Amino acid sequence: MPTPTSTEKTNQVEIDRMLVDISNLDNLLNLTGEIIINATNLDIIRKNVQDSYVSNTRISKDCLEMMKVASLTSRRISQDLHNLVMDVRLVKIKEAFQRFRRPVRALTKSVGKEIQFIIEGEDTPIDKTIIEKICNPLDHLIRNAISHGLEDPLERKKAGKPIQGTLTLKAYLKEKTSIIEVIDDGRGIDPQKILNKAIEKGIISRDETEEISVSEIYELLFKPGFTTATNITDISGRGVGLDVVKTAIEEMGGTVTLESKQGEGTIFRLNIPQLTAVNITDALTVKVNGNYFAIPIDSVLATLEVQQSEISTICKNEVIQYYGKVINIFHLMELLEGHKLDNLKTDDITRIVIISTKKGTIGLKVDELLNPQKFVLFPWDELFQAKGISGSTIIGGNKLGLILNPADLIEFTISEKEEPLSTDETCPDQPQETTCTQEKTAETQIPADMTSPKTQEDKTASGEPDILNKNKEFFFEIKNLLAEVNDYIFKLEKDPANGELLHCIFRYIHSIKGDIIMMGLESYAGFVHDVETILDRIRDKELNITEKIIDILLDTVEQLTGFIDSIGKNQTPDVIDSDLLNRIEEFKLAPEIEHQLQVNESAFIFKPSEEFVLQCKKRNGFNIYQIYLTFQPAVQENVVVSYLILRKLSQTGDLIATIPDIADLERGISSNNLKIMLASQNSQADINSFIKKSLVKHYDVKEFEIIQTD
Amino acid sequence: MSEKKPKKVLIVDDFPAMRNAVRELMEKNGYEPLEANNGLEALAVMEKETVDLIITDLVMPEMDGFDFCEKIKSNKDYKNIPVIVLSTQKDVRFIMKALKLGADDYIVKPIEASLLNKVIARVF
Repeated sequence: MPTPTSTEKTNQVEIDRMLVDISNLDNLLNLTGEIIINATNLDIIRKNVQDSYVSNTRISKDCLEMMKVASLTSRRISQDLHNLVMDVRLVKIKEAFQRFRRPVRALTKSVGKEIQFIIEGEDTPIDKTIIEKICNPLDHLIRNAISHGLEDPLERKKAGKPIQGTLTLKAYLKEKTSIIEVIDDGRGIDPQKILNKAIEKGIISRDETEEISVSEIYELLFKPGFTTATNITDISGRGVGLDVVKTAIEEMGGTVTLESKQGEGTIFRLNIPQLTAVNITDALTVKVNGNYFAIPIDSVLATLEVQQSEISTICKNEVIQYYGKVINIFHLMELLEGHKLDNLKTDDITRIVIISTKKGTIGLKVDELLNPQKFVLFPWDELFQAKGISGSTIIGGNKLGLILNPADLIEFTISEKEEPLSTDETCPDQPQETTCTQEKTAETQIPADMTSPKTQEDKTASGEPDILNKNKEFFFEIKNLLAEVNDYIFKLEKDPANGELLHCIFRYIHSIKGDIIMMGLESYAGFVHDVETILDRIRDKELNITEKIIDILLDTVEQLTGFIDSIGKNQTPDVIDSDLLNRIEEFKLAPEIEHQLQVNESAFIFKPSEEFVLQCKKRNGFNIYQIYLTFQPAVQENVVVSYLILRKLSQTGDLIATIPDIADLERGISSNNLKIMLASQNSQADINSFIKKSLVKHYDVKEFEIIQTD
Repeated sequence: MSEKKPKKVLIVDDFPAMRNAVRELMEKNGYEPLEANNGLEALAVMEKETVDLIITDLVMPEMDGFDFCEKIKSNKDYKNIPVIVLSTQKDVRFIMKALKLGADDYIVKPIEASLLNKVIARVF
């Protein structure tokens, strides 16, 4: 058998694929079908609600009923979906076990042994991802058992055992743990031989072997250094890549144990906790400064209560000794805030949670330790990602708690430690090494040459778009303001005469502009300033609130929302929509046209260009009429009626000019008044009767006046 | 227009409930309703049936009310059939676009019987 350490390690790539039962897929498909149907229903509801909103009427009972059904359906579907997915993930371990049959047979032949391969409990359910992950470790253990655990026939005969060795692969459930055992009835493991090897390898010193227990000796097998043994058979052939097995199982939150009796056999036992739900996690609750935090239990090494005297300070860093290791401790609040805090609670006794991940081990000072419990993790969406926090949860039924991300926290301390230390002259270069300890401090030590370039790199990589972190307050303020101002704009649309509303909108837009400037993004503040100018002109009654202005305001809010979202995602914001800019520009500089449309007759002075008049006069037999027309504000939009009246009138002659004209109508400028200059071959009486016949009745025209001009 | 046969109205809307509402109103007015989900379907209906009046939504899948309106008004066989737009959109840009494409009238939803009757009276 080849030494697998190096090759096997590369095989430990995470497998992200799953084999899924077709029937399960069908069920999934059915569920997605239901989701689609439900989405369609939601569309209908949306349209209904939109209609009600637009027409300012109540939402119908039917619509409410539909909503209820849709929400219940969506709840049921999500429950089914969750169960189904959990089911899909749970498969029989058979699948994994069966794939060992062939290699076992082949390997048995190649080593010249006689082995009976027995599989037990292959119906045990196990999470799909775990199956994929245990294959490599199991492969390891099985190969080891065949090559080294089980003796060859001759040896077995000498020992008085059946010539045929037995290798058993067994799975069963014990409470919430899946247990998988690889059992051989081979020669067993000789603790003395392991010990000798370990001393030889320098993994353990001779003094340490004095009172070592058998299980501690077995532990040595799983030490990384142990696997490089050149002549494996010297120590009963064990120890090949066992550290790899251990790491793999521990990654799943499991453990590996080993039982062995010399001459009788060995059992490797993998204990793997079953996944209940992906987002349910066990966590230790702590309280700091009145805030609750949950620390995922997997990464909690220990909780301690220490006297102040047990804490020593090395280079401004507080440390404690924990089983001979020096561990840096930090106040959790300071770590999250990123700077020193005054007025923190101090006690004679300091409570510390030691957390450990691959990145290292640190201690967190907290005020209170509460019981571990299960939490449903609500992950935060990208926008709210805060370093060190992975989500929120409900603690004790009614309190909000934040779930800490231990890996992040530890990373924090690494980069944070480097910066002040490098500038601090009172500190020697490598304080931990020189002052701290002669003991193993591997976890807390990060060689300077490894971390410092990394921190630098981090800075440059996130250089420009890191606006978010520097400006969190502004960011959130703008978000809040935008939400509110949007609401006000809709209200203003309904109630354009409300000066208070207008004033509010102005203030909000002004604050947003200020915040954007404070964030150092002046280029985005420019157009907001222009919008402010428009609002100012409305306040000064230079402009009326028209649909077009409301559009500009709403589009501005939309633009800013997009901008803020980009910042939240640390992306460069989009360029401001040029159409919006044009429209803003138009109104910023627009003449006070609105006054021309006041109902006031004097404002209706119509000045056709001389060119037009000349042109019209050229037409022989054409009369030029000026028509003033007022229609009853009907249910229908003024713009529709205005347009249709103009279209109707054009049947009687050529429209030379109108107020408002088509362009005005398109800009949303319309009232219940129309002024028209018409060139027509019809007589004034004809036009009069035409208007009476086809406009007065059908288009609610209240008054009209026709003046013939020359 | 012959008075014997009932006039046919083609109701184009992707939302069945809205079609039902319009259909009821039109049936009360003595119209024979035809229905279509969108502009494309409506054109297909019109190939088989002679339609006297069209009431159409604007926002629809496949072919929206604008395209549909344009198709009708640019077709010499159809261009005299009155088209009434019935939409939730009260944005002037929608209104003006529809009217300029030749829509004969424009009603903002929700539909009101009196206004619909008024509009129908004037489009003919």
